[in-house]
Amino acid sequence: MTAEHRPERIRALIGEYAAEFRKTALPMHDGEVAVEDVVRSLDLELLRFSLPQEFNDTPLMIGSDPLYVRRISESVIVQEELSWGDAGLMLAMPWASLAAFVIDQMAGPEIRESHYSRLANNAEWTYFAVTEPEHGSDPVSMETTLSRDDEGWVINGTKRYVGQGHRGTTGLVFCRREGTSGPMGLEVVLVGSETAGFTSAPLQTIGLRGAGLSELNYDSVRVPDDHVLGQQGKSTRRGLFGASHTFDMLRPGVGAMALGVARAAYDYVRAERRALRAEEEASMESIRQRILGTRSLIAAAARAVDAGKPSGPLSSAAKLEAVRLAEDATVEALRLLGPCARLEHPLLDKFRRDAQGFEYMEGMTDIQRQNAAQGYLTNRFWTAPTGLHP
Amino acid sequence: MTRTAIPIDHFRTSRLTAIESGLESALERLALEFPPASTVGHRSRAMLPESLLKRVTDADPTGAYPTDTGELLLAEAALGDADPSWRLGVAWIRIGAVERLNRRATDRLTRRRVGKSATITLPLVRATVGDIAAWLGEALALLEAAADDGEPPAALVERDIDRALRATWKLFGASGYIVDAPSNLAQALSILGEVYSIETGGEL
Ligand SMILES: Cc1cc2nc3c(=O)[nH]c(=O)nc-3n(C[C@H](O)[C@H](O)[C@H](O)COP(=O)(O)OP(=O)(O)OC[C@H]3O[C@@H](n4cnc5c(N)ncnc54)[C@H](O)[C@@H]3O)c2cc1C
Repeated sequence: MTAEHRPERIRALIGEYAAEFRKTALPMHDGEVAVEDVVRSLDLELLRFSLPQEFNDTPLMIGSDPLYVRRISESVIVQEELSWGDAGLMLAMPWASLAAFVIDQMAGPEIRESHYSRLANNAEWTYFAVTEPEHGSDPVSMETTLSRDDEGWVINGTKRYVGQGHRGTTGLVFCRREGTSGPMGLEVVLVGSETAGFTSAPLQTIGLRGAGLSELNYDSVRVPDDHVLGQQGKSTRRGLFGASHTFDMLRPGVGAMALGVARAAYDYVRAERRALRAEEEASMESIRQRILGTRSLIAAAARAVDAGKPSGPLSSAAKLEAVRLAEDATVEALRLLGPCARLEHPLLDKFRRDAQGFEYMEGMTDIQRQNAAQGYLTNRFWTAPTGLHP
Repeated sequence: MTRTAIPIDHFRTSRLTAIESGLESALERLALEFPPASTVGHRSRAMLPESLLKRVTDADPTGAYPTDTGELLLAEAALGDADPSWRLGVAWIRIGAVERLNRRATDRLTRRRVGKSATITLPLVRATVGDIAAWLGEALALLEAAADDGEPPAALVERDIDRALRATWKLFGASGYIVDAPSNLAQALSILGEVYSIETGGEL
């Protein structure tokens, strides 16, 4: 396969899976089928798709070529396509958790090996817990503590709105090391869900039901030494500070999912409304152009990551534009389908609800606006590999 | 199409009822001046508190929408013809209910903190509240002006209310994405806006 045609071929292959995703989108949203059952019924190739080559002996195939997707500029294509099918199910994919990427970057070889081996053999979920009932956009103020007594490390606290929290067999928990302040005192700890003192409960959301938002409680949960990640590394590569580089790398993916939902709403209107008034056609054309523009911005941010020069501000801009587009496209689609569209077009109603959810993931729009501004003003917005550097 | 003549003060008090007491009480108050058939909306649907729904249909509800103060039921109703005055009244009530939701959101952000500051003091949060105030203000001014000038520009009024609703909803952060009192009220307001929309776009 030539490098030139690879993106289109990935899009075409994953598009077939996306059409399958669409079939269970509404039943899963309505609670008629369990998320876990839908995920476990999927092809193993798709469940394993983002595993490193050494853990994946059944890769997706494009013709006779195995497809190992480890580059962000390719994974955003997959995320966009699958979210076109069903963003909820996309988020329910065990590999979709940020945790996998942080483990990849920050854990020692043994933990990494055991994590990927489990993912390769089972549809198992891992969660990533930062948000607390009182602290969302302001994670540095988090109150979950990591303390040390004679027997080792102990976690106490509560997390809320954590994706896959109640499904996860393990999770990464961000906590403040007792007696510290500021971002450097925040550690990331791997916790098994069987550990005594850990409890979880699902939260019902208005959309993105596959995301499995949950509340998690840690009541004197004990963790072994090597589960506090990144202890050997430099302090700037540890904890929340270290993980923030991962956020910059993965934020284009959240944008890609929002873009997939925007496209789904656009296509829905095209299929349902054959004739449009001139004003309506102009509005649809504007959405179509924004889909192309947002896709280009996401691709630029992803290219920078792949070239080893991620631009956090550019990633923020990509997510920001995608979330705005998803909102506008779904709102406009409902308008174009006339009064009572939410009642008469339940799939479109689901797209609208799903689109709302992306606002909160990986930082709200106003936070992204500030990130983009800060990067732009300090000349860190364009990084050379985007091809956009002035 | 029936158009019931309504004094503007009745709309004004219905909005204030929505702010103070919630959607059900506001719709009940609005209905005092309307015959039952007027309370049926587009596509023969009615979305009302149970007490009012009984007046227009015996059919089983097809949906129940909890709010922060009670519940609205949705049902098909044979009689009725989407009386424009009733729909105008619902627009007034929706403005009031968004204001009610906004009070709840901003009270919450007064108690929440980012570092040492209350979240409500952050410039971008205040800017959002300013936008919401401007959209609601414009919608209200247009509805007031319609009392003298006839029809309000329906698309603009709807757009203003919907933008204000969406922006208010986001102020709740993820707590507004969980099924709970704020998202219930917001969701009910969104569907109510569809059933009794004053704008009637759609199929050619
Ligand atoms: C679908 C979904 C999946 C999620 N997955 C996870 C997960 O896997 N793990 C996890 O830990 N969390 C997860 N979250 C939670 C998410 O990270 C938080 O919702 C987000 O950080 C916002 O925090 P908050 O909800 O507490 O809102 P707040 O931070 O309380 O924000 C409330 C309002 O204040 C505004 N605001 C707050 N601070 C600022 C500021 N500095 N500048 C300008 N405006 C500000 C916000 O824009 C918002 O309008 C998820 C949420 C959703 C909806």
